[in-house]
Amino acid sequence: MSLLEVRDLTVEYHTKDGVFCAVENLNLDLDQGKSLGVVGESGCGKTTAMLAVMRLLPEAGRIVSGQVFLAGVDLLRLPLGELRKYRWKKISMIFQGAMNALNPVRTVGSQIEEVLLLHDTVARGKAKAEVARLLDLVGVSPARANQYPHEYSGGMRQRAVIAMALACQPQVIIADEPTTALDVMVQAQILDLLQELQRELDLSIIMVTHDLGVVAELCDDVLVMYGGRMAEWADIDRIYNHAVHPYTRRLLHAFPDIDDPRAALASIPGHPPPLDNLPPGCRFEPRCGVGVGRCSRQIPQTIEVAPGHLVCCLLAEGEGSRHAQQ
Amino acid sequence: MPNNEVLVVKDLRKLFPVRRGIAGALRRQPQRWVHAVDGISFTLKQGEILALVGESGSGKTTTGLCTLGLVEPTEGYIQLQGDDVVEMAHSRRRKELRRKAQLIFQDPYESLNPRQTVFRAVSEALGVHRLATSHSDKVEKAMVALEDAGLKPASAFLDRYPQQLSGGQRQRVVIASALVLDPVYLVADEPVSMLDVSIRAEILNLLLRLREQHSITMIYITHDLASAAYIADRVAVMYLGSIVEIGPADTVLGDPRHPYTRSLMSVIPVPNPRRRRTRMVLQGETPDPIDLPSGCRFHPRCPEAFALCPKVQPKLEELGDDHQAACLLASATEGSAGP
Repeated sequence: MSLLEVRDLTVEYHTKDGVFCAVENLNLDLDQGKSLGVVGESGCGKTTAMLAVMRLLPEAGRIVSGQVFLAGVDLLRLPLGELRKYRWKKISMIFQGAMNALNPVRTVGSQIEEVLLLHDTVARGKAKAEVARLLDLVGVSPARANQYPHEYSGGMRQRAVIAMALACQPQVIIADEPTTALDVMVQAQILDLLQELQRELDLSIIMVTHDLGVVAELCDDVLVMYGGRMAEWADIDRIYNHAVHPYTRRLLHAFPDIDDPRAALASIPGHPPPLDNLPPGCRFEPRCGVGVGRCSRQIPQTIEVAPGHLVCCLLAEGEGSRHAQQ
Repeated sequence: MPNNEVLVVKDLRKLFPVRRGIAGALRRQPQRWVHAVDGISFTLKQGEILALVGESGSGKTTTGLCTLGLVEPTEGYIQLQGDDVVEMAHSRRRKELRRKAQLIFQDPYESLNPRQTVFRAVSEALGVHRLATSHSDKVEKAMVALEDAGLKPASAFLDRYPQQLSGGQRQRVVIASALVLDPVYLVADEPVSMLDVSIRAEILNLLLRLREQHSITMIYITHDLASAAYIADRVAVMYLGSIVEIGPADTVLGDPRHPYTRSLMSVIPVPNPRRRRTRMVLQGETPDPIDLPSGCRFHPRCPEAFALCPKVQPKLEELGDDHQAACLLASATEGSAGP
């Protein structure tokens, strides 16, 4: 049993314009001390899925079905009072752009302290010392606890936000685009920090990103999402060297590689499908280019093309049966 | 062919004054300066793409703005097609400069007026520069520019508003409104960093196509060496206002001689787990450009610094094949092609 198991998660948004399905039958597993990369373009349901796992969906969001097991407990079935024992304390999240959402008129230290006191993580008298410990853990000098966010550089603000996410000593951290707005060198520093924390604290990390390079550096497994569904799931080596789903392959081709800078980059024309106009069959079919006739009608089932390598594509069926015969 | 040179930048220096508080002024504290760009030179041939690469605060954008005549340099001169840019910006020929030299910003979500249609965004400059003879001429020119920028069919986009467009489409509109003036020179300041990875390739390929078709000369500003390697003919790596390494893209990236370039290359995520490399992560951030380090500006963060580095300021040194680096160790590290 994995530490975190998401099963058949389906999320809808109920708005005045109708009901839109943003995540459909999503599954994922995350073991203790491992990291998972969730990749896909904007609008593929990555963030919605993660917010659903945290039960932090905006008001219009509804979890229609599915389970989220954290160490065997289904978070989606817990009453709110019980959920408080898990959310932030066992599983925590770094939101996209959180580093720019720090309160500008309060010191960074007091904002971390607030988190500690709100969740009764430490006794009031020990909070200051704990803030210092957390800042030190993420590589910010504890002496800077009394400074305001504007006195911090971007990289330091992101470190402070990571310190907040760690405040209640969670086992799982979901990081939503934690390096997107940062300079390359600062990005590398933050990636190093996450890796260090993972080793030291035996953390499990979910990295939500559209940067396949970041995933290759940091993650053990990869979940590729498209149009709210899983497109492909495999360990990192298979994703980068034996990708089966056309979407994964094309994402890889769209990414510049410093070791082969002149290799032609091919973008993926078009956009992920809008939620109010989802294709009836495979959701990638309109942009796929290698699809067959039935792709536009038939919803592809998940096929295990190799042990632990799942693909949702009609074209992968042959590979699946080949594997079954072996 | 000297006439082939579209842009010449010579000893460009730009200092910004640091504002003193009233108390500072009363105490007669000395005026302090931010050394945004500190003595850089380069030339661009027609149709050439130069990538300016470096961290935030390295002076890339200030350099770009100076070459457009949008920021006045403190020292040095800039020539566009043989004309002095600063002089043009202050004379009747300012309009001509504004037509010839264009800028594409980083954020396509903020560089378009949300209340203007695509047609107005693209055609407005035509009116300013009196480049259209009639309304129908304006529409036609706007449509040509939109199609050039890859928005096809253009007629479907003319009446749309920015919020009806995706990020990639917005950036294309921004590019079209630069193209409509038929520029000779373009500065693209981080044009893809706000876009989704799948769209970045599209915009980079578009810039390459524009160079092919219109032989536009370009400066591509980025902190991402991988995209710089993809698009640029030459790469200039900047650190704290100076160029520390410059040369043909393949040479600079294939055999980087400056430790800063090597470090920048090592931190680029490689999209393949089998080629994970040791990241040479520099600690801290670019120092304050007000109090510059002595000697080599990179020495406080340089993993290879030795006794001489804080004392001697290295000059750009020719390493052959038009490849130059400003490092005391540059000629000594021959052959050690990075991590």
